[in-house]
Amino acid sequence: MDLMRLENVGKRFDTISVLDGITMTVDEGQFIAVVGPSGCGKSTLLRIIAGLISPTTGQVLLAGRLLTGVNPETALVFQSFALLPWLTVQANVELGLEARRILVAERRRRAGFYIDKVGLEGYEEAYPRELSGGMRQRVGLARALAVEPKILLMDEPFSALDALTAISLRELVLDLWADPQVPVNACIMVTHIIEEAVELADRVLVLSTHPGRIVKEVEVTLPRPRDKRWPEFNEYVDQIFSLMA
Amino acid sequence: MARGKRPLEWVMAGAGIAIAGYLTWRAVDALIAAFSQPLPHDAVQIPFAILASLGRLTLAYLIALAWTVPLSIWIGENERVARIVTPIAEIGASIPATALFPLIVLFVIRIFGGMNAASVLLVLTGMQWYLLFNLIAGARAIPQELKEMAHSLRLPRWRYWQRVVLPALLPSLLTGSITGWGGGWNALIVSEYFVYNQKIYHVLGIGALLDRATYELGNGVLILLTLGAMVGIIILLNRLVWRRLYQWATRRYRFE
Amino acid sequence: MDDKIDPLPDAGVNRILGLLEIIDDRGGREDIYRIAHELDYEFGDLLAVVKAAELLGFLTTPGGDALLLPLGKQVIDGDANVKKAIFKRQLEQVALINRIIEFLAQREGRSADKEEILAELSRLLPQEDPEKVFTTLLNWGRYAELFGYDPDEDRFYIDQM
Repeated sequence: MDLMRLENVGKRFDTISVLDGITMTVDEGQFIAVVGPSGCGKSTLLRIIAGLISPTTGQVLLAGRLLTGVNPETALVFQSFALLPWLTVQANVELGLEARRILVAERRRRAGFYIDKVGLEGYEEAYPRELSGGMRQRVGLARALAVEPKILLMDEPFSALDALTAISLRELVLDLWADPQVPVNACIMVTHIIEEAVELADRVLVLSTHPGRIVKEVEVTLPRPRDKRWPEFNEYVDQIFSLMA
Repeated sequence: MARGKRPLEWVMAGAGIAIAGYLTWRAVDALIAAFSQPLPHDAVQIPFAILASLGRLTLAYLIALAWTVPLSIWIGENERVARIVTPIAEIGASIPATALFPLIVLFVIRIFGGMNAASVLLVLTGMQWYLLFNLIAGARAIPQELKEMAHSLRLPRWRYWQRVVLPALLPSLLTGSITGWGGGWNALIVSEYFVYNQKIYHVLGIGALLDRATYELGNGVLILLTLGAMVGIIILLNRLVWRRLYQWATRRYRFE
Repeated sequence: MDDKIDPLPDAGVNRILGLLEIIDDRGGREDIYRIAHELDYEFGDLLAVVKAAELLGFLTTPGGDALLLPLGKQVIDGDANVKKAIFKRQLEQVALINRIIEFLAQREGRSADKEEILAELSRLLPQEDPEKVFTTLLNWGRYAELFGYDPDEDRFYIDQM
């Protein structure tokens, strides 16, 4: 069953065609990675799915209905975290709940639940400037999860982190994805790192550049946790690499 | 010639010190002479004049805030508006406030019949552009991802202003306020006292007092006292209000 | 018992977890130099992470390798609360952290302001930059829910929860 569907979506900025003829579905229970060289419009695609940018051509369907405006079933995790420096961790995580006019007690409880889930219990009263990059991205994850989106969107979520921190955060995302208490039905991650896509995703969309088109969809059928030393893992990486090159 | 100075430089330095010393001695001598006489009776006005001037500056500041803050928020959210408004604002800012004063006075005195209104208006022209430019810069510096974040979390507009835009603008608001008040004091001196067609228009204020002491009374002591009071209040405001606010705001409301 | 007080290696929790993860991926043992090379990681930074993980009893370093210990394996296999509990138990074994706990415990409200903690850290570790040690202390302490710090009140305290 598909949660979302993009039909022949294209986007032009002035005369430059950024995306063209994108048709894809977002299925229940799937982790989708979008890979492509920089400038292939993958971040634009993610913002079209989020309803932050409207497509020039084609249509976006949410549960069969045409999407207009911000997509209420999604929440975004940003490359540079997008935290408010003047709010505590708790207040940052509550931001989306505040917007939904959820009562204070329920807001506290729900934010606390996701703060706990991302391993940030003990940091509630801290400000973002006190935190390392990895901890800031955990706040970004908790904030997105707290609004309980059906579809979690992540835009290069690990690329501002050092290599070791990125490893631990990928692991965290996999744990959250497998956690039955976290009600996310689908996940879409934009990345330029092929290994990251193969490690996390069920399906990898490979985009070409100028304009961004879907070159191929690669189903990754490896069981989790996936090991980079597996020969099959490397076959996927090689296959996607050659599609991008 | 890294070390040691040539004789000529020694002579020049010596002469400089001698001249400076002589001038200081003359100034101190003059001050002692001046202040040993009874204070000019206008000196009692100084505290009231300061209060009146502060009132005008505050009023002008509030008016400036009332239009520059909403406009810069709007500009920050709308690139097209920014492209239209910025050049207009640049032209407005490049016209010296004092050059407009005769026009403002003539019009305002005719229409509103008050020198007070004219004075506030002139202070406003000396103040508002600093605020506007700093605020526009601040609004446009809000990271795109923060706007997207607020948008995708579906923050209502007023919540977005409350949680994102206004806090993000605080540091530039304070920089703009500090420079704006500087411009305001500058304009104040000429704004409270005006001669037109051999008639003097003036209001109670520290700027007017200074002008009167200079042009009407020619009283050196009064000039010194008003100047001293004005400089004192400016330094006090900077130390006690603006600097503290600015440090607090940049500590808390700064992006990294 | 007056054991020697070592400074805390300058390494955050996420890095420690990442390191344990990568060693586990390599079958529980890996050459440290190779990890640095493959991740394109500054060797000095990686060494600080290795030292931190070793200090906490998650791994040992026989002959230039990093060898994952059972406790380290428990950390990466556990959920958030298990990870935190193990961190807390291990941190309580660290001499410096013990001294800070003692320092706080004898104070009213079991808390102190940041300046007081910095002074105590300079006293315990005169050679180190107290700000740096404080950062690590706070990072680990908050994660393990051992210490808390309220920046608005400037209050560093023992987390009772």
